Amino acid sequence: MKQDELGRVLRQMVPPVDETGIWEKIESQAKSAHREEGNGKPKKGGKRLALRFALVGMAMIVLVALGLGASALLEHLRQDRVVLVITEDGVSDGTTSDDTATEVAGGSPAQTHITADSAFANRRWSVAQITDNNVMDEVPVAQGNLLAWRAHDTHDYEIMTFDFETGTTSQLTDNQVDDWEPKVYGSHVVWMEGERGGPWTLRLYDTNTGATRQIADGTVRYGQYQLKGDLLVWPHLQDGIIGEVKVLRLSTGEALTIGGGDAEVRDVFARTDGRYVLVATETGQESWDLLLYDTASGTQEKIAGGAIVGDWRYLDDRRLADGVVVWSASDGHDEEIFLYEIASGTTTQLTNNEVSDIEPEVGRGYVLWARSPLQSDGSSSASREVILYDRRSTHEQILGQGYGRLAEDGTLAIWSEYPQKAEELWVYDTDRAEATNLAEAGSQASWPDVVEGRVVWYRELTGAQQPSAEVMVATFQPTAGTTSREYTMIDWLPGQGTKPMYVAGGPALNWGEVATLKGRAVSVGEPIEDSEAAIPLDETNRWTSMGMQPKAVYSLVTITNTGNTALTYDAAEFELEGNGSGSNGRTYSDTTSDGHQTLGRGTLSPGESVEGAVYFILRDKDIPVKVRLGAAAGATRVVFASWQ
Amino acid sequence: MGPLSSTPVTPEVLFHRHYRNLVGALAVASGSCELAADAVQDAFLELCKRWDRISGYEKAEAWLMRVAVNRLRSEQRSIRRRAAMLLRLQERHEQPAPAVPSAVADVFRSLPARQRLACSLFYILDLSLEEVADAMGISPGAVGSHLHRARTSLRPLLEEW
Repeated sequence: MKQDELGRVLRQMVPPVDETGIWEKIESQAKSAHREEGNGKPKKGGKRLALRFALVGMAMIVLVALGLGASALLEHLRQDRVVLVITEDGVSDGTTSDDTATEVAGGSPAQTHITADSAFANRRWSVAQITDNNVMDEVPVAQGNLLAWRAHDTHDYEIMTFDFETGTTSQLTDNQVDDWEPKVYGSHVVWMEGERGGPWTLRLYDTNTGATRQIADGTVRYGQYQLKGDLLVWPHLQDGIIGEVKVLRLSTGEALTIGGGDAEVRDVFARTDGRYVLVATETGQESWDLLLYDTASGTQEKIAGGAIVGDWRYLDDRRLADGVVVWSASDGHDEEIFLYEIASGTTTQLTNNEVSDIEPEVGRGYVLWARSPLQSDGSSSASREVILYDRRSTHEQILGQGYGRLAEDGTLAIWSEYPQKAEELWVYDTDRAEATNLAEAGSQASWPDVVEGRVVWYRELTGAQQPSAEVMVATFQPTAGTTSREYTMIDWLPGQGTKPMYVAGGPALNWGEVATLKGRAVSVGEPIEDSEAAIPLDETNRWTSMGMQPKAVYSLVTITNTGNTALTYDAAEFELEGNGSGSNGRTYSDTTSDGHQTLGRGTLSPGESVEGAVYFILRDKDIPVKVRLGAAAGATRVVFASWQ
Repeated sequence: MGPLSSTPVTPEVLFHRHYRNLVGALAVASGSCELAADAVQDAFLELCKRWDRISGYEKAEAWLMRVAVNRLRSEQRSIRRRAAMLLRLQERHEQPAPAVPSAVADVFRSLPARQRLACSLFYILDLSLEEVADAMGISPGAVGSHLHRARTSLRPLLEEW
């Protein structure tokens, strides 16, 4: 029992608690609930099982129609439910047994309509254990080429770093006090130093110079500091003054103070994106102001105030990113998510429902938050859904249950049932809409974080005799998008069949940007609806027979042959995904209804380019989300156009 | 609540082992024994409903605490949207044990909810930083921050007392 003064006082404040009859009441309610489940609606699992059999049946019909057998179907089902298993040797294809497959289907991916594709998963994630020293290596963070964590040297915690480029591990501290909670950006590492319980001193290390300097002495709040770009920000603790935020410009040493001296301020938090500083001040019980300070102009504005949810989690430092601020506030009934765009000065309410939406994070193009359904008495339930919101399409989806985080570049999101000691750690690739479990069976993942191209966490082995935690890093292989990096050639050919097959599996492209691929450069314009497009009658009938109205949209596509040999292209190698439907590219006529030349199949000589419109079909109320590059093959299974 | 046990137990055993302490700690954190009792009872009810699954965990007690804390925090958030209940709660606001000077209790009640909760779990239930962090869904570092802030606020009064 902790013996200090505060503990003694608090224990005296504990009121008498009567438990007479309480257990009987709970037991009775639990039994009643079980009876209702048994007599009423089917259990969730049974429902899913029924749905699964229905889907299997439908798939059988489709595959039989395509001339495939049951073994092909089973292979397909297995591939849809592959879980990555990490072994001592690295990542292997842990194709699951039926039992495990059910567990996965009932867990995250199948529930949320996310596909976990084994053919790509193994190629696109490499998982490495960075430490192997039988001490507690904990709470890793990463940015760029730098990884940092705290390691217990049997007496206290020290700060460690690992350079992804050189593979060098460094120990930054060696003292008799705790050094905790490192954060990294660029060439800098910042952490707090002091006796457990505080006060804490902030220290900053520059990997370029190898120098460590003291930033603040005893006036730092545990873990509440952020390093981004050229700025280091932290709420300043000093007796009698609450509400000051300190800002240090690393390149010049310039120091700023924001706020302070306001007697009404009860608490303060700060976040930065490298230019702006978001200051949240608690001005009353459950009442907060959000202030945005521009370090470039020295101006400050209040962007929101009132019943803002004041849970500023220590690791939750992505409230401000991508020119956007996000927060959760009560609408008088429950909590909703709000978004403020700095450039336009506009606030948008992203949710308007009867459930509690809290703890938002923002990454490029996406917002992620936790949602708890309300109980009948109006309070939110203990369950948490992780919601991912696509700002471009305004589409939101449930990733899974638990605690989520979003990479600042918006390409990856992670979630686990618990923030600490979770059995599974899921990562979701927003470009490919694929989820992968990174956690190794028999270990527990704690405090994961996700940054551009990487997921970091520490794992503890279940049942281990000696407590030991090791730092883990999963690295995303070269992937989607519209960067200048080259993509490796795909070695996955379309499946067997008698009809031409179009396989989407390449990178997703952002509207208008140029993707540099091996031997070609491709750009895809934002889809435009063409209500006058001449959709063939048989295609219209096929859609209407499924109860859907087709809608034609086209994208202006440019392809340049940057290689040394002839390049074949085809409209069908482009695939448009909408919220609820999608299609491969088509060529309905020579021109669109507004006069653009359409793109069919053709060949480009080295250095030659072609521009044209590619038609896609979506369900009438659907919104285009992204275009992927795929592969188009003929009946003889010869791939005549594919991304490389 | 004592150290987390790895021994499989029944919900009833867990109830008799932890109910009083958990309600007591959350009552100090929330200022309402009734609110705390509701949250803890809800957590035990959920525990019973999901026992088939949870009993396989080594951390049934940690699960129970996390759910109770979440329920309490949800309740506190929902108080704002249920003005009538707020009035009732204020009327029924339990007084702390008389041995504690009202000034200390008043300052403690005026602390942000997160600080009160961290203090209650840490000092009354005697949990470790990591266990408090698990229950609150925040990091051990954040727990340390809340404890430090609370101690800073209460230190002058405690020294006088």
